[in-house]
Amino acid sequence: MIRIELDDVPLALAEGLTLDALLDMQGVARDAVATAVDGVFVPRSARAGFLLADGARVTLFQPIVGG
Amino acid sequence: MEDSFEAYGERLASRLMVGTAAYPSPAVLADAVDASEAAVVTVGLRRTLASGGDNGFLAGLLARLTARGVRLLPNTAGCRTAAEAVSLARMTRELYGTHWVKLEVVGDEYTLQPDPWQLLEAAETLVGEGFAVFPYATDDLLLCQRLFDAGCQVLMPWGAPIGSGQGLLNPWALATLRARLPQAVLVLDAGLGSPAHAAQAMELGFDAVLLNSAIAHAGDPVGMARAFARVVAGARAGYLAGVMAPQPMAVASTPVCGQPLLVG
Repeated sequence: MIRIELDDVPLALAEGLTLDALLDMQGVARDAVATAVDGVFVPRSARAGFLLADGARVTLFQPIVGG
Repeated sequence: MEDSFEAYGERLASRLMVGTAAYPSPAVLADAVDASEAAVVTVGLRRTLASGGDNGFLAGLLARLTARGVRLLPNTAGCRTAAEAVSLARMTRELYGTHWVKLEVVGDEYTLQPDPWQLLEAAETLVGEGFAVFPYATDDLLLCQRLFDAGCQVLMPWGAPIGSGQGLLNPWALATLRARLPQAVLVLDAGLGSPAHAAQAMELGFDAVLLNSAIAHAGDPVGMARAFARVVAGARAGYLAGVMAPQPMAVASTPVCGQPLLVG
């Protein structure tokens, strides 16, 4: 078991979970968000091979209006 | 004759760029963007769980804009360091499918003044990664020169602090940028409050203006968007026609000797 934060919300997960699997678990469409782990961008193409480590801080971003 | 200009090899028919934030409603935003006839529209990114969704409004608007050939210009608003801005820019490229990015790295909370050192560092990195960088900068000549030298073909100096509506606080500095950086595409960004401010920038020889609050916070945003579109086009035409040089004293326009009606 590992503990991570997803957008500041603590989560307990099984070890060996990938970033893509986390999105699927959360019901987030893979192409609807951009992802960062510990403040570093993780491209869509790298998520399937990105194993989440204990203490990881995952942040999701989506398009919004802007100036 | 159509008046247009190029940004990173892309020919743009409108010299007005508009933001999409702070409108009273999604419908007003959509109508205002249409009325502005803007060729470039800015958008942003946010953390997903910080607030609720928009029921797909933005996706629908973006699809409509891109179908019309409007270019999206995602920003890196909210970044305080070069590293943050670079990371966010990479995300915008993935989510919006464009290598254009409005690079914002703010250094002061009170004025939202760009941090010149962090801005330049981020610009150098992003240009190296193939981004077309539109840096939001101050009107400092040397900063703008360094950004241009780093590969930023488009520069976006401020007229005044973001959202202040104060207009062009330092016209001399802006005119100096135009004179010293003739090869750069200059877009006045931030601080414009009225169409008159946009006209002043265009008559200084700026290639375009970018604004958001002046339209979004107007009593009638759609009407204001239309007004900005007309004024920007008119002021550009005036600039091309050659504005007369100011004279220190009165110069009579009516002939006072001879026979004025018998010319030639």
